[in-house]
Parts: sequence; C-alpha cells; structure tokens
Amino acid sequence: MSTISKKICLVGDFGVGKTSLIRRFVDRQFSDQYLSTVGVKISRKTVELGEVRQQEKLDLQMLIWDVEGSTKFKSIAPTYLQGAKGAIIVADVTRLETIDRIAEHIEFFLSINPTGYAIAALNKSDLIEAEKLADLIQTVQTQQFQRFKDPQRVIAVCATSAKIGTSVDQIFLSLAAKMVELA
Amino acid sequence: MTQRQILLPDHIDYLIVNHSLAITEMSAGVKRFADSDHEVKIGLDVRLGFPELIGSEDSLLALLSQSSNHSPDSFTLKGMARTEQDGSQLYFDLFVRTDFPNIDNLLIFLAEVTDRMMLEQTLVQSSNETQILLTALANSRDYVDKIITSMADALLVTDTSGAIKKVNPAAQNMFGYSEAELINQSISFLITDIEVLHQIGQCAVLTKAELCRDLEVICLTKAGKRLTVYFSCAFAGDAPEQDLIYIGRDISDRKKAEVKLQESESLYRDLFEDAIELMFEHASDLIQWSRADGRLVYVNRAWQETLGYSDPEIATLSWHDIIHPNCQQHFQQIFASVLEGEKLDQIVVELVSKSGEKVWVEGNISCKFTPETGQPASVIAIFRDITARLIAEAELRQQKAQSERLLLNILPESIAAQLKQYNSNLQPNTEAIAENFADVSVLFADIVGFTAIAASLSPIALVNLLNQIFSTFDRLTEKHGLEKIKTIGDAYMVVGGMPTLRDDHAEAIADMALDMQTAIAEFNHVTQMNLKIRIGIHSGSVVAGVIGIKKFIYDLWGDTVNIASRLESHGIPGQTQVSAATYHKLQMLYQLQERGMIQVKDRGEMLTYLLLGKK
Repeated sequence: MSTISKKICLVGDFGVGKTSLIRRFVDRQFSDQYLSTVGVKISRKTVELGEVRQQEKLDLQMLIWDVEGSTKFKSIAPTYLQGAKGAIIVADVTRLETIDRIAEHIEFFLSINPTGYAIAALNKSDLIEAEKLADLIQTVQTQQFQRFKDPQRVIAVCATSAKIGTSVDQIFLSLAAKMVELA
Repeated sequence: MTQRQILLPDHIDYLIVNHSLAITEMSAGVKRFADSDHEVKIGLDVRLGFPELIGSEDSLLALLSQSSNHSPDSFTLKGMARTEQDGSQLYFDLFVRTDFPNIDNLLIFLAEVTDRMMLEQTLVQSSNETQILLTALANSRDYVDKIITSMADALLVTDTSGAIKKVNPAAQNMFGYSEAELINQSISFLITDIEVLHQIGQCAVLTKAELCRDLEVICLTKAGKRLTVYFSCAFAGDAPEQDLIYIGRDISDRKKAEVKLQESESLYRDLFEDAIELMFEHASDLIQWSRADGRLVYVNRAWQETLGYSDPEIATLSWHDIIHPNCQQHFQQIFASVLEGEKLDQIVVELVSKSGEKVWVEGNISCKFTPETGQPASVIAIFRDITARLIAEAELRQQKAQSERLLLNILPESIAAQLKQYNSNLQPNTEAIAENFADVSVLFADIVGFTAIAASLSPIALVNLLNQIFSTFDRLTEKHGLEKIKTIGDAYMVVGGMPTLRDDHAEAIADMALDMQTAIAEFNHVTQMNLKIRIGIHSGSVVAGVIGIKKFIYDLWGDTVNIASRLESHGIPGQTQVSAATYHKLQMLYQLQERGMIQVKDRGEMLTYLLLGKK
C-alpha cells in the first residue's frame, strides 16, 4: 500500500463556510459561530481509495488549504493556490452574490492550475427549501459553466451543509478520486 | 561546507535545504513553526514538518535552476497558521531564497507574525460581519419594499405633522394621484374629516401606544369621488418623533352592498311577515319560529291561545321556557339534532302553558341555515295540540286494563289471551278452547251440614257467611299459586299444576288443604260457630277449557275431577282425604294415615289416606 499527498484548496467569498466544511470533514464537528479565517490553515486527512485503482489500495493524504475568504478589499493570494491539484469552490445559498462569484473563483483557480479539478459546493443548504435549492444548482450548472473552455475541469455542483453533514464527505472524496485518476 | 551563524532577529528562524529538499541546517527555534516538530531533523525531507511546501516543489526547484533571468529569486507564503497545543493560533510568514553563493541550497526564513495576524483577524472579522449584516439588511429592505409595492392595501406614511412621506402604488391607484403629487402634501388632502385627523393628532401626542386605532373615514380622490376607506393606523418605531403608518382599504363597494343587503332584508322581512299573517295566523296548528339560540321570534294565534302568553312575554321567551321540566332533557337532544340539519317529523313534546298546564304537542321541527356560512339561522316548529287525544287514549287504555282485569278474574291469563285473540280475529269461536293437562291435583272442599245452617239463616246472612269463607280461600289460592276453578253452592274447587305447569302441585294443594282447615278453625273461634269442612284431593290428568260463547267459564273435566269430588263427599268432616295417587306424591314430606278402602261410585273400591299435617 502506498501513500501519496495532494494539495487541495477551499476557495470562496468570506463567510460561506469553508472552514466549517473542513472542520466537518476532518474533525466531524460543527460550530454555528462565525470566526473569519485570516492567512491560511492547513489540515491533513488521509483517505483510503480502494476503488480507484483496483490493482492496489491507495492511501491519499489530502493537504487541505483553508484559504482566507475573498472580500471586496482583498482577493486571494495566488501563491496559496499554487500546486493545488483540486479546489472546492464554496458559496452560501442564502447569499446569492456568493453564488454569482463561483465561476470567477473557478477561473482564477484554473488559471493557476490548468490541470486541476474543481468542485462547487453550495453550502448552508439546510437553510432553504429543497425546490429552491434544485433551482440554484440548475442555474449554476447551466449558466455559470458555459463560459469555460474546459468544462470537465468542474466535476460537480453539490448542495452541502456543514451543519448537518450533507454531501460533505462526498465533495472531498470525489475530488480525491479525480485527483488520483489524473496522477 | 563552512559552518556559519546567521544572525537574525528573535522572531525569525531559518532552515537550509538541498536540491532534494532535505534539511541540511536549521536554527534552534525553527521547530516551533513545524506542523510536527519531531519530523524536523537534519537529513529529513523539509515537507514532513512543513506540509505547506507540498505542491510547491516546482516553484522551489525553479529557484535553484536559475536557468533564465526571468526566474523568480524568491518564493513567499504569508500568514500560515498553526494551532498550538493550548488551542491558540500561531502565524508565520515563509520566505524561500537561494542560499547564495551555495547555489544548490535553499534558505527558508520563517518569521512569526502572530500579533499582526491576530489584529488582522479582528479587523476582518468585524468587517465581514458588518458586510453580512448589511447584505441581510438590504435584502430585507428589498423584501419589505416588494411587499409594500405589491400589497393590495393602500399605504401612506406621514410624519407627526401629517405630511406624507411615502405612498405605495395601491395608494396612488386608490386616490388617483401620482407619487410626486402626494409626497409632502398633508394627509388632510385625502382625509377630509377634520375631526378624525384631530383625534389622530391627539393620539400621536398623548400616547406611545404602538397601535393607534382603526378608522373608517370618507376620503376624496383626485377625480372628486368620495371613498369609504377603512384605515388601520400605527406608529412606526419607538422614536419620539414617530412616523404614522396608515394602511387603508377601500370599502365603498362593501358599504353599498351592506346597505343594499339591509334594504332587501327588510323588504323580504315585510313580505314574509305578510305571508305569515295570511298563511299561519289562522292556522289551527301551533307555529313558532325562533332563532338558532332558541329565542322566540314569531308565534301564531293558535300558539298564543293554547299557551296563553302575551306578545310582550313572547319576546322574552326562549324554547326552554315553554318546555315542560319532564321533557327538557329529551328536548335538548331534539334541538341539537335539529341544529345539525335533521328535520324531525312527528316529534312529541310536552310544553307548558303560562298557567303551568302541561300541553302535549306533536309535529315537526326543522332548522334553516344561512346559505353563505352554513350556520343555523332559525328553527321553525309546527305542532298540533294532542293533549285531548292523549287524555282520551289514556282513558281508553285504563278501560281496557280494567276489562282485562275482570276477564282474568274468571279466566286464567293464558286462556284469556287466547280468547282475546279469537275475538280480535273477528272469527266466531266455533272451536272450544280445550287443553289436556297430564298431571294436576284437584281439590274439592265442602261445608258439612250446610243445608242445616242455611235453614237457620236469612239468605243475605248466608251469602255473607259464604262470601267471608270463600274470600279467605281465594286469598289462600293466591298465596299458594293455585287456580280457583269455581264454587258450586257451598263447595269450593281449586286446582294445582295448571294452567301454568308446576311439579309440586300436590304439595301446594296439600298446603292449601291444611291452611283451609286452619282458616275454618280460626273462623269458628272468631264467630263462635262450629263449621267443619270436608276436603278431597286427587292427582291425575284433566281436560281444561272454555265452552260456549257467552258467560265464559273456565272449567275442568275428567275422571280426576270426579274422583276428587267423590273423595270429598266420602270424606270425614274436618279431615282431608287424598287418593293413593296423591298419597304417593306427598308421603315424603307429609304425615298421612291410611283410612282404608272406600266405595267410589263408578269406580269400585279405592284405598284412601287422611292428610294430617307436614312432617
């Protein structure tokens, strides 16, 4: 059994729940309190990927970069994203402006890592009705991603909730699986 | 390699790594920045202690290659966070440069920036929170604006002096003015009722109550049309200089409709009352019309005459005032089902008149419902006075019972029932009612020497004497559950075991005989007479029935009857003589003495016994 390490980044506007998603995935915890992240914080989590390469089991150490959220005044430092093979682009379903910026963040990430993969997480999905959520996912999928040259770089748009755990493991693991495929 | 000492400020440490990123040199304090400090050792891969460098290998190696002038000469990662064991945060910046002139090595500087980053965190936190709040506020304002714009009710906001500050499209529509025409105008421009405005002004000055009041006022539109508008007025906020919010709805159409409805209602009522006059007033039935709560609205003349209440009294009456106490509970059930929509026919109710007399009525009660709401509106009852009929019926019943009692005096109940059935079938009673009973006991009693007594008494006194004795015997037959058949002169005939069958008929007859003897002894004691009776008892089968169609009498026939009679006539005065058949039934419980053989007419010799008493 071999272990490899891959860097992934969580990117998005401030207050969308990047830190909370990592906390849920790595520590299985959640707090309602908002504490804004400054700088960058790295977490590690090793996942076992058995189904990706059937000939051998593979341990993947994910180096998860919790990058300070972008604000009107401060954008994301490109050095943080360098060398990342994957990115989770996070938005808050209760703040439509954060959803509008998903495409922008993806473009930025892919400009630094043209061979990386991105997955969009529409977080705080527990706060709105299922119907509205489905509409949002549809909108993001059809309208936002038409502009990319290489649409398959965006592997999915998922509704997540760090609070109740919806699809949290799923986004990290599908990104992990995709990154290993490409290696 | 020459050993050097790099002199640095306290908050900065360093690492030197070779082209394969293995640590070759480090400062003493560098471990405090490591993710796992035990993995920061000379010779180990720097990425073990500093995982931030994973993924940046290309950038780092680019520094070493220096292949082109365009290559960057440094690599920087700022604001890296570590969580200390006590949970506090440590932040550091990481700079990488070539270790000139050792061209194969990279020099990594780590500078602690915790204070700066903590300050930044506080700043970013408050800035972000404010931003989120502002967005939420903007959203909710948009939402409120959307509601105000799209609401069907007119909305006006004025300051305390009455100047209009805000209007919504519904208000512009209602009054026919544009927004520009209304803003800064006084509210009196629209509401013409000075008195009302004055009241609102008072309210604004005197109270801090959130809700001022609801008003119905006449307003004037731009086109000069008068509108009835229902306003609810409220203060906006708690500030001393509060704005007033008016939310109004044009109820002119509703008002008109109400007036029309009232007009048509009263018209309808007039028509209806006329119809009542014509149709109901002279009806012989009792008609009463009440509200759903039971209060009387109308009663007709027959009702008034029957129950005796005057018009003013009727106005105060309710259903339950005129229901007799006996009937209240029953009536409540009736009334409840009527209100549920049931139409009840042929209901009998006991009413009570003003003078307290019970009045029985029969008829129907039904409820009318308001078509719009489905709520019960009124209850109408049409009754017939059936008091006289009920009294007549009661009398009839009484007479019938009386005649039945009489009939039962001469006939057993089961036989009487059969007779009645024949009669009610209106068929001539051609067939005798006769029935065979296999096992009964027959008793004959006769007063000894009655002929001699009869000669010494007047006929009246004689009948009185017999009546006294036989009445006593009658009571004894009832006591023992026996059937008296008849008296023949001074003889008394009684039977046990029929028409209702019983197994202990011989015992009952024996007890009867003993009691009869005792009764005669008591009678003698009281009257100072010396009467004696002979009793004969025999058990066997008889035929019983009624013969003829007039003066019915229920009688018995058969050998058993004849033998019992013979046993009596051949008996001993003051004694009870029983046959062998009866003796066999009694011997276990009674004292009996063999009398011997006696000669019985048409029968020859019979062995008989004397009944002495109970064992």
